[in-house]
Amino acid sequence: MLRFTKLEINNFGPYQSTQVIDFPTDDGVVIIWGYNGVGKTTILKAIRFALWGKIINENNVEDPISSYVNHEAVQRGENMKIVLHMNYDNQNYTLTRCLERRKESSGESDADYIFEVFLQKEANIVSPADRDHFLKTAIPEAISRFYLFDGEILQQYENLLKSENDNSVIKDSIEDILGLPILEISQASLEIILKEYSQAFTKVSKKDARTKEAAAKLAGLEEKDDELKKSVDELQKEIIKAIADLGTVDDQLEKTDVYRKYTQDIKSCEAEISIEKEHLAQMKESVREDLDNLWEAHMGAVIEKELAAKIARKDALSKTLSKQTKNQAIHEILTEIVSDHKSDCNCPICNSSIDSSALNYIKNQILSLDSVKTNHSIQEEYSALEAEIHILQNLKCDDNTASIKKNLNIIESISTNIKIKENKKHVLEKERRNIAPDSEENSIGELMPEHDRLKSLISNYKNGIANAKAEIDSNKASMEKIRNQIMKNQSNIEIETAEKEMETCKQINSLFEEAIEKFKQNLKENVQKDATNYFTSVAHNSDYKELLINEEYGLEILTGSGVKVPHRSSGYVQVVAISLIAALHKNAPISGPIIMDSTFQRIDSRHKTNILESLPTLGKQVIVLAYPEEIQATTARNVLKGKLRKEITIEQLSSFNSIIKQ
Amino acid sequence: MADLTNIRLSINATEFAKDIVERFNFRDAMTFFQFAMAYALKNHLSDIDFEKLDAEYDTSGMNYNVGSIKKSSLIITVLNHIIPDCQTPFRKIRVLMIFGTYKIQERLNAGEEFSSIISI
Repeated sequence: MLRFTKLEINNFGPYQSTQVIDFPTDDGVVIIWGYNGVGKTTILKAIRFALWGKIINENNVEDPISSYVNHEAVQRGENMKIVLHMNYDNQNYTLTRCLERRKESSGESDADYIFEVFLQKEANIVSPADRDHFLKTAIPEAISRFYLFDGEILQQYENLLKSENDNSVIKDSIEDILGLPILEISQASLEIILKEYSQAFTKVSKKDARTKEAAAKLAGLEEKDDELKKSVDELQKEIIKAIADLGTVDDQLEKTDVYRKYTQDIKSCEAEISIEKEHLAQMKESVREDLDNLWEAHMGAVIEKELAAKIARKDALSKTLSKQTKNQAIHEILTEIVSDHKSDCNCPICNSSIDSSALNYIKNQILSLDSVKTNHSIQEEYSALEAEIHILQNLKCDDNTASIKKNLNIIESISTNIKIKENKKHVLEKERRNIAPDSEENSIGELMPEHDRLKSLISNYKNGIANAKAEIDSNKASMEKIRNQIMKNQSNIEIETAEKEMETCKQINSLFEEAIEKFKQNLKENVQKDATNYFTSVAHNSDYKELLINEEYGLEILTGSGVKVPHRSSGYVQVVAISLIAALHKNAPISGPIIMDSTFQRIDSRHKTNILESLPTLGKQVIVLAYPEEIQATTARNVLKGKLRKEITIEQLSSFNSIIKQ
Repeated sequence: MADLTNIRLSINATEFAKDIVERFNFRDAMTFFQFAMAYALKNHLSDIDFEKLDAEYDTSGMNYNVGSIKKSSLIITVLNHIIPDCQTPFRKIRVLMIFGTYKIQERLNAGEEFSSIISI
């Protein structure tokens, strides 16, 4: 069992000087927290570099190691170093890889550095051969994808489930982790031994005059068999090459498709922004026109207020004037009474008798009315007010404030929409820039014919292999026939012995072949059983009862009624992928640390909780790299409890300076 | 005191008006100043000591010929009605423009929305 105990990162990626991670020695989970871009994946890459001396990027291309030397360290002319401390079968190992900067070099290419690697076992440095043997044994690169994995492995697994894809790479990897290659190599060795026995039989048969002729034919068929097998091997090599080429073309096509999709989305965004901007310009012009007259709306309010005051004053004056008119009439009547009747008399209106005292009273009333007789100044003021009111009423001022407010709200809303769309466009452009630069829009014209050519080539190779194998079988039958003929005609002890040896070897070979098939079958059944157990323990859908493994290790979900679930969600595919990985680890002959980088992204919160809970069962040392929103820290702590051995945070001080806080 | 033929605004009012024009889409500073004048007339007439402010406000900002004021006759008519003995209407207009600008500035600086300021 391999366990990482400590990682020292010096001037690698965003890490300056020496940053250290001490891994706990107890079984359990370590979570390394960090937002995007701070250096989470760099930790995975640092470990990959330490173990295998290379870093494969997202496009399956080996990156120049010099590109990982910290930018500021390059400026300062410093070296880069990764030290990985491990424990393997209770012995301590320290693996060091460093890049030492050559004098007077720019530090920008691999040629500017001297690459050094050494492995220390306990206190001693081991030989390069022992070092390589250790690395191949403890954690072979071929199976690394299941130990140090990220979203990419889940994506590959997702592809495995699409029958139209050629999945030999991941299928081989699965067989690698399950330890099948050693059996297949053994079988190949047995085939060689069998061939030697067959040749020995032919050789001795040639010596006998009675079997000489048949043996010559047999030798010819053996040569033909060799050629046919060679041809199958070559075709298989060609297939592997063509599959790899097809993979590259598919990647480019996919990127081109993605690039096109991004370009299309960006154009749609731009069109939408353009429409919004046009609308905004129209609204702004409309508001501008309204604002031209905004002052009038306020002036109108001033006029209204003034008008109201003047009308009120005019009403008050009107009342005064009306009272004065009435008083004038009374004054006139009383004056008439007083002037016509000097002594007692009768009232000219009601004919009542008016005595001298009443007459005196009337005279006094006349005197009091004299004081409120028509005041010409009031009349003048009234007339002036009438004129002023008339003028003010004729001053036209429109109130357009409601329209301005409405349009200002529309402008704000459009401006917000534009900002959102521009931001979306910015994000799309950024994502498009992340796609490989070879994904030019017009390359699809060249890629599609190449894709079709490679597909057809693979198909031809496969047919060629099938034909060659059929011929091998037919050749074998012919050889068998001739061998029987030789055995019938011979009376030579040497031939008999050679035949017996050959037959024994053939039986061993056949037995071994059957054993491998049986072993594979058992292994698959175990993987299926363990994947099902894991899956049903984490899946929230209680109707999902079983996982069914296929020839290529793809897993189908079966419901309680035995129906295969079609079109599984991408989240469920991830859950299935993790189930497969869990099962593979359980059945793998070697075990080691599992590092998961951003593998929870597409999984919903319920499944996240279940998978978190199951992490300690995946392996003895599980290291999770996650950003804070990907997993809730409190959920992780609550669910994992004592099995969460350590939390580590990566903090970014600047683009080229991240620090590890333990 | 003679009335004005050119309205010279204060430097602070001018700077603020430039900002407002940009932010709220006024056609030009004069359009805003005319709004500021009506705003002051409507909301702050009783607070304004025309003679004192006319003397106090500097004249280092924008300079407009009185002919560039829209519907000046209407404005003068209104001023004549509401300001007793209004012999120098363009001096009054200058004071109202600057005073109104400062009051609007105060409200915007206090975080009020422009749409509430333009409300009648």
